[in-house]
Amino acid sequence: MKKILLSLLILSTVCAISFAQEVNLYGSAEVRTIEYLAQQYEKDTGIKVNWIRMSSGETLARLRAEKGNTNGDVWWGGTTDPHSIAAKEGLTEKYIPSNYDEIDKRFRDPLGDGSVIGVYVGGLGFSVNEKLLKKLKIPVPTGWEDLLSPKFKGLVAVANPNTSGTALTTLCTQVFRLGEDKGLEYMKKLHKNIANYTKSGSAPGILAGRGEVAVAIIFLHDSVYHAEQGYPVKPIAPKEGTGYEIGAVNLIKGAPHPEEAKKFIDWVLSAKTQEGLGTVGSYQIPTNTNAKVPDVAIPLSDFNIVDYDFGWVADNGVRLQDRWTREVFTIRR
Amino acid sequence: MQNIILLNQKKPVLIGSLIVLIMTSVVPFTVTGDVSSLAALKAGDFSGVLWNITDNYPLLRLLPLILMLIIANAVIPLKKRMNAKIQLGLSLAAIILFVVHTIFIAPELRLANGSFLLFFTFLSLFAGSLSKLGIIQGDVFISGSVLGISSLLIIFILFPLFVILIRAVAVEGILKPGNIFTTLYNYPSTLRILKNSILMSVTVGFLATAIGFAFALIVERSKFRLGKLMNAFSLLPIITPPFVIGLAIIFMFGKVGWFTSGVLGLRVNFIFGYVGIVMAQTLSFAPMAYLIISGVIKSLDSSLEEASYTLGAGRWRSFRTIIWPLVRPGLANAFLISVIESLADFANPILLGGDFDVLATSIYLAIVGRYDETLAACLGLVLLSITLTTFLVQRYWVGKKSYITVTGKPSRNKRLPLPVVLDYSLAGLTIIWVLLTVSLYGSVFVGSFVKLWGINYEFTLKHYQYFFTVGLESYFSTLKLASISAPITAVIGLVIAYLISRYHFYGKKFFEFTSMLSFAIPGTIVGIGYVMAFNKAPLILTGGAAILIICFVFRNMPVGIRSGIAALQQIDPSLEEASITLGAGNFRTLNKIILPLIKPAIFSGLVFSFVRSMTAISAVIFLVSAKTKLATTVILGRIEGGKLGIATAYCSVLIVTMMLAIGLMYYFVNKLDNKNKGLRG
Repeated sequence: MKKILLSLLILSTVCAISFAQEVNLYGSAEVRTIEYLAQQYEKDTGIKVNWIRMSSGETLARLRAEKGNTNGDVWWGGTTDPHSIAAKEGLTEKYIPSNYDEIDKRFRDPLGDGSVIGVYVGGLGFSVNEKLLKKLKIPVPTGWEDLLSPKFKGLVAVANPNTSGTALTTLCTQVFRLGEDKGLEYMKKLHKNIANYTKSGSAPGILAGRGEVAVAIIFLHDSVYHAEQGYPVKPIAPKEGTGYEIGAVNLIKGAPHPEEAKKFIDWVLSAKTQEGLGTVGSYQIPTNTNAKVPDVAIPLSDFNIVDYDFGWVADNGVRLQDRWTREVFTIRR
Repeated sequence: MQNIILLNQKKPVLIGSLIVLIMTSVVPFTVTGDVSSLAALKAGDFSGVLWNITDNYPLLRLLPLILMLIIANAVIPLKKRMNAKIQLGLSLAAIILFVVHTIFIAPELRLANGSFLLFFTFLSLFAGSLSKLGIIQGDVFISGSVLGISSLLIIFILFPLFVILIRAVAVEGILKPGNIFTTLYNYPSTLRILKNSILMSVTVGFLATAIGFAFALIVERSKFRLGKLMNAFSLLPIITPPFVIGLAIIFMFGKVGWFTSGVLGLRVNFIFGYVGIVMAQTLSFAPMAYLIISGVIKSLDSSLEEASYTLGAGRWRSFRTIIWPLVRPGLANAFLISVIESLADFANPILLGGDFDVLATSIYLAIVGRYDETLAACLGLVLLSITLTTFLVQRYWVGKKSYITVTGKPSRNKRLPLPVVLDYSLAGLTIIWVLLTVSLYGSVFVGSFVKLWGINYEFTLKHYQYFFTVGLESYFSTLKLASISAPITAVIGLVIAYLISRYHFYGKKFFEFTSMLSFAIPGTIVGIGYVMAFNKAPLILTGGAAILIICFVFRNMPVGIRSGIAALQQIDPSLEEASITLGAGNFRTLNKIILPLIKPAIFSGLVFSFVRSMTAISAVIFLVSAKTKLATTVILGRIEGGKLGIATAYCSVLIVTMMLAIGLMYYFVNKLDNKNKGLRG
């Protein structure tokens, strides 16, 4: 009994001792980006950053579970939808950063009520393995309709919209491009050519990079990064127009370190920080209008964007996932 | 004389209660925010101490009052057994008050160390009076352990499951049991996932059992001496971090894998989905099946077969009519355990799943992709009911049907030859297996040294360089948490094993069942259960190291219990009886008689729970926090980001770490064994 008591005491006291100044960051982008932010912020301000990388869905689940007693201060990165759900459920707090005016008007407020602030923009597109296409003698696709050619059978990969925000963006792009029913028709035809649906949104890019498939539908900034890593891939923005994601940042409600958190949000939206992300291979487009777009990234002016309605996606996302699962995913191919 | 004994028995009650009474005015009963009890204590913040919160929670005044009464009762000698009866009543009242207050009166009050201290003090006092009155057999150590461990089992195993159940049936605050069915019916993938899971687990069960059987035969009976080799290989899956086998299969058999594409020149895409998962899981679980079946084959008395030969039956006929029926229950056991493992497996399906979704991953993805915790809870209940049924079948139906050929006469461990064809084909299979395993692990190891797998095979150390700069943080925090949890697991496991195998008490069946239950609860369910249960007052544990340690302890407990029971069975109870007759207490007996004799078993339980903590993924994925990262979740993040080089480098470091741990274990166990032999001889 004494031993049990003793171990219980040890158990309940083994908690990290708090630092004087710190901020807890929930990051929903690539690990390398979050690591960079943490190191850089510590260097710039001397405030220690405790961070954890979770996908945006995991973070939302975590915030719901921690409601009223959260450990997180700031949620940085990941697509808008989970951020906006969190805002609607009162899990995050409105905070207008000091440099709000520097942020591109199109992206700084995707929901139109100031509850979510855009930190980066990423266009959806193809990551194409040219080496493999050349070997198979298939012309490089330039738009969505090209992917429907029977030549691409088993050569296209995309994530599952039930599990990945990237894939949901792909699905919604077709809906905004063609209308809901026609958009699903398109997905049905595309389904015939899909090699496999992955769970994670950026995983198809690696499949294309290694030549397991020829075309991956992913965010273009990921493709740029893969190309830089040495994979024989090229990013292509579909000519018919494409969807995009707005990565968001939010102050978590009940944050244990609210002042440090606000300071972090101001810092992360600054032109200097946003430019710095390019040095670790995060080639999203900065939303701060004073920030330079990385040389290798594809500037927004280079592609058509569809009229992407984030409010509609937030309301219809799950219904669309279910329609896709019933009408597309279950078809034999 | 009588008086002295009485006084001696009262002293610990008196002193202990006094100390606790003093501590309650220092150690916080409740804390707010992310302050730990220790931090509050250090900062001299007494706002959470019991005396300072009684204005808001007046009923809590009764707790120290009862404690004082118990102290008074310990000082004033009354008639025979009267003191014990009073203590029984008082401590029971305090426990009931505490539980009712926590659950019904003030569920918003977040409990901290001071309250745990009080609760377990009353529990010990209650246990002490129970054993004094002879209601529980044994002394205060036995009754205290039974009560203490039971309450821990209820809090950390049953309560999270209960919370999941509530989440699945609660619709806007109202409980509607039908909600489970409507949720599952409305989710378009339910049937497909269910079919996939069953198909996958049954296939894996069959394959793993068949291969395990083949290995067991070849090790125990073949003329080829492959025992040492197989035993080494059967350890591999235990020390393998999740994802390693999946990654290796992609490296080797993927569309551009070095074997399928490089050696065979094929471009095939078969590993993402059913085939890939079955391959990976069979590779992971066959060695475990082998360990189960080889135990059965070892215990077969070869004289039965000899009799069969003598009577003129051929080798095939003897195999078919003697060995096969005797090992059938063992095979069924191995099959059912592989089925449970397969259903609970998270890493392989998430990596190799493709379109093939199964329950364990769908629960995770329901949260991650659909932000729908009710659906996750419902799917969790489906998975839990399948694994639980399998577990019950294994435990109460197959587990009991064993044909024991050990009859009291010394059984002979003579190797009787197998039929020649069988012998050669089994040896062939083993060789293929060994080659496959070597090349799979080799691929991962080589993959950690090349620049970009599949594209650029130049040698590089940059992945390791990365590990030794950024990766070290999570590596050391994993090592630390695993090292803290292992001894706790071993101690609790040993005590449970001791109670189960040596004592009879009310509710023993329930106690035994619950403590082994965590084996049948898939990690994903433990994870979401813990998040849902321990994120709110009264018990907030998330966001720190404590919840990870607790999770490790209760998930690995069956390992400790099993090795404890196995070791205790080897010891004659008369040794303990002698010790107790000579006046030593139960704790002293456990400490001085049993512990030295079963040291090797404890040590191996220690190492295995350490290793299992190092490789855990499915449960901890929901529990890691910004301050405590774990190796496996970092590896998963790296794989999702496409950084396979870093992931494989990290996995290689983990494999080497665990090999060292296992190596150390064997070294010490051998040393202890020799020492023990020396003592006996």
